[in-house]
Amino acid sequence: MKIKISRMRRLEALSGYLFVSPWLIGFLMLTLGPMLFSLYLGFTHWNFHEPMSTMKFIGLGNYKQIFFHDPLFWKALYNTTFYSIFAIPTGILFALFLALLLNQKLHGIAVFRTIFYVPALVTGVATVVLWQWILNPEFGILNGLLKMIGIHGPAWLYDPVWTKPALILMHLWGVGTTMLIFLAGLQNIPTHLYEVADLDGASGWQKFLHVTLPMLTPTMFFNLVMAIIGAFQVFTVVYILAGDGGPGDSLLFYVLYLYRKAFVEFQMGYASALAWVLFMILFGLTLLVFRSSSLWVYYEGEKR
Amino acid sequence: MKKIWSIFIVSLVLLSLFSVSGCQKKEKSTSKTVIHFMFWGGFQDLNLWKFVKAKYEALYPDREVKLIYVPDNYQDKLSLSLVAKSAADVFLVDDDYFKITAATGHLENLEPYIAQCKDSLHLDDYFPHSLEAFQLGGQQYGLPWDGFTILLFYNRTTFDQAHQHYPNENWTWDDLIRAGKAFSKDLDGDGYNDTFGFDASSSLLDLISVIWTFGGRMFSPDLMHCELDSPQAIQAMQLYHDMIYKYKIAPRSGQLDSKIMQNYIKLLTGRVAVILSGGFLIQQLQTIEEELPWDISYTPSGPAGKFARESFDGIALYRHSKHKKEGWDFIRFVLGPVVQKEIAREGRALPIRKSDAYRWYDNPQTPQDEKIAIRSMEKYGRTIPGIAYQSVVYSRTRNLFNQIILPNADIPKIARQITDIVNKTLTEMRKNLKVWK
Repeated sequence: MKIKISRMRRLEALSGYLFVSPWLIGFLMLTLGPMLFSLYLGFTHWNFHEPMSTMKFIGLGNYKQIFFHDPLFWKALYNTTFYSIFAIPTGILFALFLALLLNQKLHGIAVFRTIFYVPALVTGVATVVLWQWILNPEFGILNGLLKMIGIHGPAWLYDPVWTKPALILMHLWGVGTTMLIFLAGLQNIPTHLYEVADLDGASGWQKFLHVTLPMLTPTMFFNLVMAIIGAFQVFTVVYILAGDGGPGDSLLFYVLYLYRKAFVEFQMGYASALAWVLFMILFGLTLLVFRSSSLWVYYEGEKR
Repeated sequence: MKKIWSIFIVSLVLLSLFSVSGCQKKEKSTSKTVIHFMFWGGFQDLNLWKFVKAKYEALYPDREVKLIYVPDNYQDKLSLSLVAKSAADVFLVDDDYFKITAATGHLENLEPYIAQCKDSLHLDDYFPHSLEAFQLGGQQYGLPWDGFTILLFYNRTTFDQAHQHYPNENWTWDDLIRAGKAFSKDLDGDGYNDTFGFDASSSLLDLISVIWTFGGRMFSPDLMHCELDSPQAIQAMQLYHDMIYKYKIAPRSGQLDSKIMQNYIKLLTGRVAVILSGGFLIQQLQTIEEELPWDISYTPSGPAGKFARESFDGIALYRHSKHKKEGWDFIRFVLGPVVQKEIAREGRALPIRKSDAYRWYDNPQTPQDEKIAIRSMEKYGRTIPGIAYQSVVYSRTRNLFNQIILPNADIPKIARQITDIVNKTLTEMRKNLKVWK
């Protein structure tokens, strides 16, 4: 009897492994394998055009070059950080604001929810082309509107001072997904908490501050982590808008620079090192947010 | 029962895995020799290569050409296929990327093939500089198959309305500025001009012709140093800046961005009277002849004369191809009269031989004189000297060239920065490659 059970278990285990094997093989071959290979490449000099036999091990050479002799690395990091510092909070606040508006119990609210979510469904390329028109200094609708109130609008994507604000503005267009997650979070807040607050005579603002916001912190935590990763990995938008880095390299974002090194200058070793530096930055930031979560994220029923 | 069920599931998973792993395409078993040809371009190019395929296969019934059409990011895909050793037998190479592809050993040396059929190729009839564009270390690793120069395009109606003489071969930059002032107007009274005399980007590829007309050049003759910080080159860059901010005959940065407003629309709408563009624009403008009375002329001259940047498309044979003979036959066929006549008829670029261009490209039925495009290449054509890191140089300096047309641009400083970057790239290239020119 015992033998029969163990054989059955073995078979069950085998079928389990076989079921996960497509993912496992995919992960090993298409994710972990290339990751480890790129880690090795980061310590080599290899021109992508040349055979792999010409690959030269140079130790920390690429990393030394990145940190001490590459002004464009710092420029790209500055641009990305600048964008992240402004785009992440404004994006989260705007999404929260929209979610609060769309959480009202009104007739036809589903239509509004759809309308506000639709831009998030439009692909990156289409959005960028659309915004190129909106922000065009000559015949763009934004400068047209500004002109109607007597303001001569800036050159937006053609003026190094205005390129990043323009990009932050574009980012707000795509907050639909974040908004939806906030909306789900809002609808998960138990109504009895608001009823108790009403009994205590709390105002709308006090309810928002002391009920909604604390109950929404786990959602905010998730959105924040995703926004940080997303902001540091911005590529499609800047590649289409300014594959060359934009005026005065003001749109040379980190991943665009990495792409340029890998696929325009064919420096695969250097590009791999850049990728690992980005990984470490994102890892550090995510760790920081996770560590800080005990100070500001509230989980119902969690012992403190 | 459970055992049978488990065996069934295991078999199903294994079957699906095997079916996924075996999805690499297999060539149909055929007695024909199949050669693969990779190319870039728009739909017109696709049609051209379909035509070539049909004619080639008719000539060689025992062969089949598989077309690999790459409409976008051609160079990335070509590089990947070369590194993966899965490149097409024959592929197009443009003059910017040719040297790095040859210098890294991916291209077959065509000298022995050329030697065998020198008479039928008529290389002495090729446009000047076109063969050099596809040489590395003096050896021919690719062959040019078409080309064009930068030309001046203008709207005849705009000139008529402003009572200006049409541009001609004697036109100088001063003439362009003088005429440009007559076209540049502030139509809505907001203090900014809305129509312009001239428009061209300040990219290196557009600016280099101007730099040459002022006596400047990109590299020293031995290609060891960049000379874009010479007074002549700076003068040319300054001219572009002045045309926007001093003479106000050209749009500010982004005002008429080519990504939003294509060149033919700028001419069609009368927003711009004169543009400089590659000869490929002829094909596009011919389709709107009735709406836009356009014409072509030579690029303006400067103190050092008249020059027009020329560009050639090349074709090469993959060094690891298993069908080199068939591939070489395909290249010869592309350079032969059937295809060259079709290239001329299509009008996107000039056929590669002068005599073919005069015979087939010039169309007496059009109002334009296409001979200008041919003479421009013959008399004034000049190429940027090729180096293996050409694309790297473009990539690293593109942004600085774009800065030339910004309002507060410090032109000498930008020129020095460009020169510095190019010189560093040259040093890097010489360190990494044995043969690079």
